[in-house]
Amino acid sequence: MSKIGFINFSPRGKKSTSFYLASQLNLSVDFMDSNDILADQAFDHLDQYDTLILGSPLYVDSIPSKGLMFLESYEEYLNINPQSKNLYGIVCCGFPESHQTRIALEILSHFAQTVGFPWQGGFGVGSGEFIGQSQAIPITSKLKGPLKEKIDTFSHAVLKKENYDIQFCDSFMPRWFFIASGTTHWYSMIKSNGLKRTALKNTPLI
Amino acid sequence: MITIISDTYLEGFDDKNFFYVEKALKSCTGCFSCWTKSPGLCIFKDTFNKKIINSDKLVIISKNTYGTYSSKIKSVIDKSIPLVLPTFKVINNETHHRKRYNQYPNIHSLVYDSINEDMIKTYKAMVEAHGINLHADKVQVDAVNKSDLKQALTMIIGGHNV
Repeated sequence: MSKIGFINFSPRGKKSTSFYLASQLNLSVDFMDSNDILADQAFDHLDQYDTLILGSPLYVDSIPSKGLMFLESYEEYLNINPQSKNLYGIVCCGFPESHQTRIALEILSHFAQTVGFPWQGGFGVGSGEFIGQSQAIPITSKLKGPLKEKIDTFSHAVLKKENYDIQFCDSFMPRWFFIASGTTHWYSMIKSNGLKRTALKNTPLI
Repeated sequence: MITIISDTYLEGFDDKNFFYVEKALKSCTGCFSCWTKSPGLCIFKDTFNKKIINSDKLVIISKNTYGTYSSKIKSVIDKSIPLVLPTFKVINNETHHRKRYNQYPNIHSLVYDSINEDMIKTYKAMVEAHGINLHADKVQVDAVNKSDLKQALTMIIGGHNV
């Protein structure tokens, strides 16, 4: 019986798109936060899993620093306690082009290579903020592109411990619409915080 | 002016705008305050953003950590997002954040302890992408041995920062 653990690198924890996506997998998964494991140095807790899924947002074209801290410390633990696990990844980015997650998925594959885990692939999701904030819209909605299909095929691969390669999933949303609605969102946030619209473009550091 | 951030201490550069990131900064929490509550400023005061944006060149010295910056360097970079706007622009047929400032530094990274060529390739792609997002006109990456960092940095600095 396969035991699967999901480790979330998002600073937003259970409110994150990474967590939401993992919760949609058709798998029995134990959910963990990398910060908790790191804070308690509880890496031995991970020994029980034969498959790990790392979930991460894209932060400046890479994994967030808290995720990297986890990987660096976990590598140290594995150097002393060598073992093997199937490693998969899910990376979501705020931009609509899911292929912008490719580098972050490669980074996870290099971690796997470094510690001797079989890298089994993963998938990158675009428009992450939209996906995370629109949970009322069914995942099967055309607006969310092939997300449901990717989640199903990914779940199947994890369950069978098969290689998933690297796949990408864009929402079915024109880029101009993403940019226009994003711009409206950010200006409304500024106003709701009691600031003038022009404050969005402040340049306080020069 | 050249600003240097490094995850390893290099002797002889203390008076040359060299910042040794001995310990990772408190991680970015993804709160977006820097875009919507105090535009342009992180709510934490430990950023390097003022130094970065007022530089002509940003030199990043990092261990190659699975094809990206080390967590210490990444903690600095993650907190640089207030240097750009939350709104979007299409660059090279990809969506990116718009400029907040008129000028941004070029990026030159010295990467050491690379395990293999694949990790160097990923690191270079990552810095290129970082350069696009930070609106750098030029990006350069040199993979070097750790023992050669001082010599490589001296060549980059040249007559600057003296």
